[in-house]
Amino acid sequence: MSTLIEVKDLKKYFTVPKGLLHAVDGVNFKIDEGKTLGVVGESGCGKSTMGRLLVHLHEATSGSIYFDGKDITNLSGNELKSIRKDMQMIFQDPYSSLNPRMSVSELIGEPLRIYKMCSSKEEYRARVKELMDTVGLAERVYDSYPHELDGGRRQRIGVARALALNPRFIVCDEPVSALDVSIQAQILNLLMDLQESRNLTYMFITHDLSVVKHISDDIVVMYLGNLVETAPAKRLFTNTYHPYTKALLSAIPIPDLHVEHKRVELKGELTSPINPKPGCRFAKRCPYAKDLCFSKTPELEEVESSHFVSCHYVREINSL
Amino acid sequence: MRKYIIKRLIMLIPVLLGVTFIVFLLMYFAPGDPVQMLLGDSATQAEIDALTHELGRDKSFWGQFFSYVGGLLRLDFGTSYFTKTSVLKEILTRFPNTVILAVFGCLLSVLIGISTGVIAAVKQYSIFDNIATAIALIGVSMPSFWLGLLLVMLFALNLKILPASGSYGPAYFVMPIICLGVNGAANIMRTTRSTMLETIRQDYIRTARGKGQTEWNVIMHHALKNALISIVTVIGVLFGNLLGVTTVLCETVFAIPGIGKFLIDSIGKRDQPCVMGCVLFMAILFSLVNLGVDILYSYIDPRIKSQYENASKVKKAAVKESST
Repeated sequence: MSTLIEVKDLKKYFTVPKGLLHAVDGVNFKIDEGKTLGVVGESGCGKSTMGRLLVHLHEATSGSIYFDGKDITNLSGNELKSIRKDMQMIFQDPYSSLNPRMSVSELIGEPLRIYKMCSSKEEYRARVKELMDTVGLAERVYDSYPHELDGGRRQRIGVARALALNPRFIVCDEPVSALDVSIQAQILNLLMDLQESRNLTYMFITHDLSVVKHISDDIVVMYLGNLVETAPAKRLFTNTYHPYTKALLSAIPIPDLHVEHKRVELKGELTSPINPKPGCRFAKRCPYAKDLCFSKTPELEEVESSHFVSCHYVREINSL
Repeated sequence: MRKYIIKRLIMLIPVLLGVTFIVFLLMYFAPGDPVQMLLGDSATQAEIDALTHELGRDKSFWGQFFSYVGGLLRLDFGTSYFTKTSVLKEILTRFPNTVILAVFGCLLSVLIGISTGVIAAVKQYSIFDNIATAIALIGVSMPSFWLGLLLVMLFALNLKILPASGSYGPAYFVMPIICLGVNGAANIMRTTRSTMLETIRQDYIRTARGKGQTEWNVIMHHALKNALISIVTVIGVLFGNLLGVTTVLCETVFAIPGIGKFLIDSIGKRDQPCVMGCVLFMAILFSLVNLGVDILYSYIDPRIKSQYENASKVKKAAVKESST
């Protein structure tokens, strides 16, 4: 299996009045073709920024992004346009991410027009209808406007739109968090079916752990711009090593009255991502933190095969 | 859609009746007697009584009002006390001057206002934005007649390149149009800038960029089209004002014989039929411009159009169902 996406020491700093906001701070990971990488973390940890960096909706401050072995970090103009064809994004909020002034067919068909993919009007119509069929949108909504449709159908438009150019890689930025649970499952299954039939590669950003477990092959856990733990999906849920991941997983409710639910509660405040001091970003809230944690930033370290954790005391805490 | 327009036109009738009543009331109680003005100080009481009777001013308030409204129903706006010509004719001969001022003033405002507004929003907090916003603030705060006087001082008195007043050719319209355009442009620029700033931050703008759309198309097709509703509202109000209120001042400053100047002159002479005619004419124009803007909405925003169309479809379906 070949690596489709590789990210090396990717950084994105935003200038804010108080200084530099380290949204994404030195992130490394790979995604194999046809696989799904789940990205989890709490609000404001830089998940969405990372997704947008990959598809060039933000420009990286430093570091590099490779797509199919090619460095795409600093592309612009026509080169960027041609790589965009292969990388698309599904956005979080299907209510605000669709232009209210465009009909369903225009929304789905716009990429086709931009890239001049269709030679005739008939071909264009046929292609849009085929895309609508693929994502399960009835043909009668062809000329409808987004405000006439419910959230699930709107998100299907978002998916169809992203598929229009036959991309190889799709960043799904919390595509189901704005939908209610029954519709969430429909959209997730649609995404998984599409992945199977088209050999798509996903980066799936979410804060919903049960969703990420359902859909991902690998998972990375982010905390304030850093990766704290990366592992294959199944292993992360059984062998959890980083104190933050432990706290995160213990927050998943267990639907069983008889199981005693031990909750690791995080205390203390989130460290500010603006001009952060050296040291582990999680140290302030970590129950195991020692002096070293406040002075030296931990590196990702392979604890088990393809299971990386960034914690100075990971072996002590987990008695490995 | 057609039904909607007809409904709106019918709704115009009570509005105009209201306007007629209020203006009539104001004119009735306004101090100064046109009969006295017509005849001069040396007139005898007998002459005054005769003319008062001739003009119908000896009838009660309601008598005068209803005979005026009765005339209106026959499209008779009355005749001027002073020139003895029909008010409608007086208005129509002056109307083209006002239209030229309003249309070109509006065009100038739209061109300058929208373009600077869009650039200022796209390049927020840049030098261009700061300067344009500052100038726009001055533009909206400055009374147009004052700007008119400054323009006359500069172009007519000092530089001597433009005529100061009158209307004997295109050159005479340059300063009035600039004078009207500056204020409008400032208004439109401020609205364009703020609504564009709002739309540029919308998620669907990011979607458009993600699709690979060029920045020009993102701004022009996705952002500006969505911002257009509020911009068109401002342009509508502006154009309605230009046809009425704003040009009154401007025409007076530059002595251009339009409806505005006619209105001011008629008020000065207490020429009641002319004042009534002008105000009614302006009210009709203003209402029609508003109606035009509302119709325009449905073309700019397909959601509004589909509302009209769906409403009629649903009604038809309901009728069909109830008949079967």
